[in-house]
Amino acid sequence: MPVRVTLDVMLARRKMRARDVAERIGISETQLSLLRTGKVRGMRFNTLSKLCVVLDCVPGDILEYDRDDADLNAKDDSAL
Amino acid sequence: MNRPGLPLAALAMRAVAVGFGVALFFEQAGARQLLHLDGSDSQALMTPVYWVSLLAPAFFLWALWAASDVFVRMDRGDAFGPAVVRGLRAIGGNLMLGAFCAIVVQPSLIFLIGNGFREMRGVRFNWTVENVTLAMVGLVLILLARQGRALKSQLDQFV
Repeated sequence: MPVRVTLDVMLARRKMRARDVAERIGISETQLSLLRTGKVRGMRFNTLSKLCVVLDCVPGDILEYDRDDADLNAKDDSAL
Repeated sequence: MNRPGLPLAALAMRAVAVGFGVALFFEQAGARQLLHLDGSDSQALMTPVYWVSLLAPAFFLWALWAASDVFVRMDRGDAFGPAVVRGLRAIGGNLMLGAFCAIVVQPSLIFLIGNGFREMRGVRFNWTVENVTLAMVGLVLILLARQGRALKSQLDQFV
């Protein structure tokens, strides 16, 4: 996926532990771990804003996008 | 039954289910008694017919009861969780079973009982708009429950 979560970098910069962050934003450690490893389908704006508050950053600090023109033609995987 | 937190809709639905169940029992029992009064040889046949005639309504009432369970689960915010999905499938399944009983099982069994199981050939059908509609609604509910579960599992992949 071209959108990458760079939460690890921010955690290291802020010298914070994943467990503490997970506790403060109200998600489980497992969920945060899945988020860090990019094994989730997406992130809610709610979670994103909480992360930004706790880590004192902006969304661009924890999300990166590797440009890929093929994304324009990517199939919508939300169809069941 | 008066559990704290039981939503009003669920309570009303359970009351309706119980009320209909009791009413159905007395209605059928009354009809049976009336037929017994005529003193014909149909008396002996009435008991099995009585029980067979309760088959489809029993499934429909079970569906109603399952619907009240779904209301309770939804009230707890368990939208399309495993319990709600199970409840919706129970409603759909019971509606389909009830309709199947009303369309095929009851007419066939009543025919067989009526001729004293002497003529075992053929299947009797009672195609009515109501029964077919109920069967279709049941099928739609089962499919919706499946779709809802898939949507919920997809939603759970969002953190």
